[in-house]
Amino acid sequence: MKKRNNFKIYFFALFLIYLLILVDGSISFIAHFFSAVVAGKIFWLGSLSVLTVLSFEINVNFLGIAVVSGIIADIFYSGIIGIYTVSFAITAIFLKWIVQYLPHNFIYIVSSYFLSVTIFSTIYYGINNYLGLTRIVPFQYLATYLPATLLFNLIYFIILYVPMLKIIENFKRKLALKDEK
Amino acid sequence: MPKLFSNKRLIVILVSFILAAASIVFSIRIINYSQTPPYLLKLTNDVIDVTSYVVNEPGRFLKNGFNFQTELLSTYQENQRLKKKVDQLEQNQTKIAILTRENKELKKELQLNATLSDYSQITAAVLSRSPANWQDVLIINRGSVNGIKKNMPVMSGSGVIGRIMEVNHLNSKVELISSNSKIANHFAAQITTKKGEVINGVITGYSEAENALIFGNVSTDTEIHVGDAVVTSGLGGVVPKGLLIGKVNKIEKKDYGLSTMIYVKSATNINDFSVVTVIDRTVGN
Repeated sequence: MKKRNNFKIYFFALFLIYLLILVDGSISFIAHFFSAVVAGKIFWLGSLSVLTVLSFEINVNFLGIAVVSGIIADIFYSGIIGIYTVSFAITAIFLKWIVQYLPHNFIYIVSSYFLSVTIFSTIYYGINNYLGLTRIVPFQYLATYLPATLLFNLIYFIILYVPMLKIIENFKRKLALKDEK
Repeated sequence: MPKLFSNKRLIVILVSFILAAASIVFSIRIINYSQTPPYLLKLTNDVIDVTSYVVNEPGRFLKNGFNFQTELLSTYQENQRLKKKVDQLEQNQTKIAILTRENKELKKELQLNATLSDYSQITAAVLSRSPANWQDVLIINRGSVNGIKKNMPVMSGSGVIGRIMEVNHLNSKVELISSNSKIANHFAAQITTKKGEVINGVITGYSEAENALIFGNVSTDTEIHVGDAVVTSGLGGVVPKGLLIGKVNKIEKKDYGLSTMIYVKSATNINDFSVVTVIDRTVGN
């Protein structure tokens, strides 16, 4: 029964992350209409917000899901498989580790998300920079790209948090009800 | 002798890193050398493309709504400006029609089927944009079934905005001309001065500070002026000749006057577009 539940959890997590990966691209596209200069510095990471909330709410290892969704994002957005995947997998490991030590409340979840965005974005940039896929120098990244990414993703996360939590709690309730039956 | 496979976790980490590195290297090789990605990647892209319509359509609708509002507000000023241009446009159209006919007749006489400046157009809608913005990648809803091929130039409005970097069955990826990737393909371009002289070079990158493209590899003493047109030269690939990139915006002498930095203001807004046109060069196909 536990195995079956785990399969359902993985499928649910993959679906949510996949959806947010597509939403991230859509937001990136729309954001350029308002301000290309600001939008050009943000890395939209709604997919990471799902992973963060899921790691806190459901006690399962999401490393495999992070790898699969990372491959999907890589294939669809850049065509170079591995960059998003590695960054996402390392962030999933970090989240799995940090969840053990923190209480499950909004402030700690936001703080974890903040750290996750920093880790993900920096690894992603680091690999891009190493491969010569960007001309942005580390100083430029730290001074402009990372702060803009953190600020806008924080707002993005706060907007997403309540609906995301409701969906996850609803899923958990349904899963528990089925178990009782 | 220490046991080689004693630490399972370390082995898993090492193998994972090797696999990740191999995957990245393999993907870069495909992007650089292959005409199209392998079938499995194409298929995955197509499946994602179909599902992404559901997510992207509300966004596109919202964006088009905002576009409509903004355009409506600036209609009066635009109308006044356009009225002034109409007379000149009609005159130019007549001239173009005469020149096209003449050009066709001359080509017939010379037995030339197509030249570097001949092309056809494929219109496409922008589906999505890479969430990591330093990648400058767009996803459009036209693929190999619509005749899209790798490296074809892409235009929006009156200017070039990028080129096709990956072709799938139903969608394609466009690398923007403003991309700051070191491995990006550059556009061969030329500046036509007011005196009619032509200077060849390459669009080497994008300056964020100047909000302009950089025209590099210039090896001439010919005087270039602000306002000179920059167009594709049609050399080195599938890009036709004469596609407008922009106009010279600023000329800067670097390295104590030894090199010249030319900034090109793009002919179109290289950050805001919903519909693009893919250019298919007739010659060489």
